[in-house]
Amino acid sequence: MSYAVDLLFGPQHPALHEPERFRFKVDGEIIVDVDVKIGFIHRGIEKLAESKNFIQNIYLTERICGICNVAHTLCYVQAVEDMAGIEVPERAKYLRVIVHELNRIHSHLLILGVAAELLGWETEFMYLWRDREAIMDIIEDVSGNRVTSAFNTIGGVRRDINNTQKERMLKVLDKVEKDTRFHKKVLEEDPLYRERMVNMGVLKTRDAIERCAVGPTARGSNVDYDVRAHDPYAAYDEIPFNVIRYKECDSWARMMVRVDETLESINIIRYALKHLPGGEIRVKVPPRLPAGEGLSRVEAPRGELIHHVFCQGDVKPYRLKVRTPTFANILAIAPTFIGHTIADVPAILVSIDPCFACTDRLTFVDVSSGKVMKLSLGEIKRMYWSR
Amino acid sequence: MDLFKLVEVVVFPGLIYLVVLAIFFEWYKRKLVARMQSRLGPTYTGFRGILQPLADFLKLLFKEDIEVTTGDQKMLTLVLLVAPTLFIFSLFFVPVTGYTIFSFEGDLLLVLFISSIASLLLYLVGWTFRSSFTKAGAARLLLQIVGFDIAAIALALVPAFEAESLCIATISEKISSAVISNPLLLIPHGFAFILFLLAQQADLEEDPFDIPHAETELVAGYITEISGRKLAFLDLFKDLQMVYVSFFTASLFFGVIVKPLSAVLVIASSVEMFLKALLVLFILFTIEAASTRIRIYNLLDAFWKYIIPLSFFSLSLLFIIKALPGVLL
Repeated sequence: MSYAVDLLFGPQHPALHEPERFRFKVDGEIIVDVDVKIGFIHRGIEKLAESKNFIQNIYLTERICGICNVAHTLCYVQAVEDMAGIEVPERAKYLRVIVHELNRIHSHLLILGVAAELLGWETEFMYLWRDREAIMDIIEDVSGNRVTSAFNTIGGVRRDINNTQKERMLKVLDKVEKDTRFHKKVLEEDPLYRERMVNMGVLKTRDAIERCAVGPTARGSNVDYDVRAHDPYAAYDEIPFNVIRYKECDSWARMMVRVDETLESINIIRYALKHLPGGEIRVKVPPRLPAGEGLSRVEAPRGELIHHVFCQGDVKPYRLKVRTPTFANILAIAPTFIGHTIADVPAILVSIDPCFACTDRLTFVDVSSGKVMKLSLGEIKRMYWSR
Repeated sequence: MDLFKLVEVVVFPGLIYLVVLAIFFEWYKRKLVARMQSRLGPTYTGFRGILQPLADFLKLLFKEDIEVTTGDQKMLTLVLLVAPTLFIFSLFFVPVTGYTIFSFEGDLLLVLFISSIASLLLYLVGWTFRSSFTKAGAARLLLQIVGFDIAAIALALVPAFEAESLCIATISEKISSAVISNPLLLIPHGFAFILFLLAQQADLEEDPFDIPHAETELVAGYITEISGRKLAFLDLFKDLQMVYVSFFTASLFFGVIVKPLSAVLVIASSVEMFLKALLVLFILFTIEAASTRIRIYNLLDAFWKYIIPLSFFSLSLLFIIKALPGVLL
């Protein structure tokens, strides 16, 4: 006989920084079943993109996710360039890599801090975020803004880096590397942190591949999968770097992948700054682009990000389709909650670095027949809101 | 009962002094932990934000009292009125100023009993509501009490046997001379002190033992449905618990230097006790700042497998050391 009761995490819950609902069936403290319900923060960005022109859409895609904004703009402009057959100057490619990696460092340090906070370790959270501020300062120095950098544009980048900025950046990177090595030691050795994270939410290599996990979630499960290495974009084919993998397959491994990737990103930026080629930073692109379709894959901080653009020879895209990494990871991770306690939910959930606002899409499906429907706003109102 | 006793109970070192201490310790905690986390902590209200806890308390008193219909409000009010009183009452037996207002042989057991009852009352706070978060929090709290309470009682007996008394005031007077006369006693004494601090940390529900109100798991645990005036009194209760824990630990395990024989010496000895309490809290808050929250199963493991056996071990070590000269002679 089971005494399982429902425990709702969300839509509003301190462990979730965005509204999404997890219904756990708990027997005492043990989770016996989990039901993930996404869709609480659908914003209709893909639809909105159809009514804006290509340049405006850079700023719209940037706002899909504030944290990995550079990955989104980069992915979008690459898709458009792929569609229109635009060649980007070499210098722009290197500059894109630099800002993309700065963005990755800030995102990884952010989620490491959030993980510590969710486990009740406020001190480590404060220290990590304090050290992350240095990165935010160089992002502002390079792009003019701390968060939404608006750095990439179709045909290149919008700003150049001069020698003074380069010097400043290298100095800050040395400090960030020192700090990250300290945090790596702390997170590797702290017994209580290990107690909470090791063997939590084990996603075996086989399961990770089957459920299409991407990014640090896959690499924490020892899957050798990194878009930067396997389908190089921008200047990644010329820059040497390692794909970080951990064999442990648990929450701890997924967090440690992020620590090591931070160190790897610092090396990538150093290499890119050293080998920065001269020349133009962008080519001029006409507002009206030829008909066609373009696809781009980018390794965002959370995993593989895909933008797919259709155009019918207009100033606007006919359709923009975005596939964000959390959508792949949330399904991969959901079954691993079962068997753990309520206390482990934040530890497992944070390890995929969830970003629900990017994930939410809306499709009407008739459950009985499996038919996909298209409904207008008036029809939705009539069917669901009038009640 | 004469007027002097009444003043002692109400003003110094009684009710008002203890509440002032509670508010001060809350500020001390916030400021200390903030500095450890490279934050500023309270800065605006009063000198370095020293009045911030008082401001928070008053603000909560003025807020609307939201009565959750599924909760037993009468029970809740009763619990929140009785619980802080229990700590104030048990502090009358603890030498907060170097001497105690009331004292009798055996008051150690009474104080331990009252503090257990006060912790159990918190369980009722969670149990009066029908929310799954408060229920889970209350269940966790009960498990936690079962974990640390036995260890705390066994460990409190270590200094009692060293000083050969069950009166807290006598223990705090005699403990230093007892340990100095037989330095071997330092081993079980130090042992017991460290374990007792851990048990008190669990009593205070600070990291790594803030399991019953773990905010990222259970929102606020058993406190979830409480607001307004009731929350103010619950906060006051937790602060008074801090006062109780720090002074109780200090008087059991640290000896006294200044004996409160005259009025001037009372001030000196209360400053001494105050500093010792701050030291105890400093250790507790350092642990709280440096650690991750553990799971309730880890807590039960830690206490039932290690700390409770170790506390009985330190008690038996004490008996062996005390009996050794008699056996040898």
